[in-house]
Amino acid sequence: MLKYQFLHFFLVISFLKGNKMSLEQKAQILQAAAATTSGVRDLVETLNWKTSNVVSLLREMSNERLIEMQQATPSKPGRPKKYIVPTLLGLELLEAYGKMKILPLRARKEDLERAAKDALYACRLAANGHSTFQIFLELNAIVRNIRVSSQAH
Amino acid sequence: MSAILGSLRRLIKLFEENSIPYMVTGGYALPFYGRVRATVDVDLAVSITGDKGFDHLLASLREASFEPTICSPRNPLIIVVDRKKGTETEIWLRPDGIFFDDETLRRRRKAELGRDLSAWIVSAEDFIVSKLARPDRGAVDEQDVKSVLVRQGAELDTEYLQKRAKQAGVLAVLQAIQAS
Repeated sequence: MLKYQFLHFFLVISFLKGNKMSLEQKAQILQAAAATTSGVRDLVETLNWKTSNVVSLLREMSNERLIEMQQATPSKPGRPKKYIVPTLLGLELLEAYGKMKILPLRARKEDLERAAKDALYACRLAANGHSTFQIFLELNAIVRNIRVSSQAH
Repeated sequence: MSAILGSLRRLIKLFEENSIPYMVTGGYALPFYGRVRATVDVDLAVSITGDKGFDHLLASLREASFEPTICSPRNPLIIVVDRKKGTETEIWLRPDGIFFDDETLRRRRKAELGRDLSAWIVSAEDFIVSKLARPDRGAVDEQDVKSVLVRQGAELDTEYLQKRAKQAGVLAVLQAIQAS
């Protein structure tokens, strides 16, 4: 239960921080690491991303306890290879992310994009000293007048 | 002053004179936090306790020329018609998704609605949750939420928002809108 609470918290905080891209990337890493035994180099090849990006994300994910770096038993001389293994929390995040991706919303993507643009316009109005509530009242009055005049015809 | 705002002024005066905690919710709260869009629906949430509080509210409304059309303490809302202006207002006793507790009231903010007219407005976080928790939630509600998330940005109390969204069972929808 606590784990799920943490998971939801993680997802929300990621989204609210506008960390959507990073979350998507983390989910991709988790997916790749869960599918097969992968080292850093394998992941870079599979995902076709810059090595520095992958390393930076892996460090972040390790701090968030989404992955563990496990050392393989050396079969030949040289530095032992490290594998990336998703933790239970990482796998749960992946599952929750999958569910979230298919969650049906009533609004279409373009509707939400339009709403975001409208919000930015409201920000600009406020920044220019306008009361957005007064603008809202003006808009309401305009809409009412249009309705009245259309009913009169 | 418009008929709707005139009605709102009288209702707010009534609540304040009777020490009834209230807040403006819905479309009339939206322009303070998100996008600006037209609506005629005026929604107010009031905090009353027990049958005595409910009866007192109805009596106060009638005395001030507001006729409650649907009124039962079991209903989440009362629709009142202003007999002087002919306008309607929805008064919510249990607004969707809002846990009307001390914290909700503490987080309200006072805003100017017009000349010499200020009112308590639901917090941005509770506004988001109430929009998402509507049983008849539509695309417009989700757009409203998106606009608040964008306009408020870092101003939002993410911990509180998460807590309330979880309580109302709308956390996943919130996440999906944020991600879109």
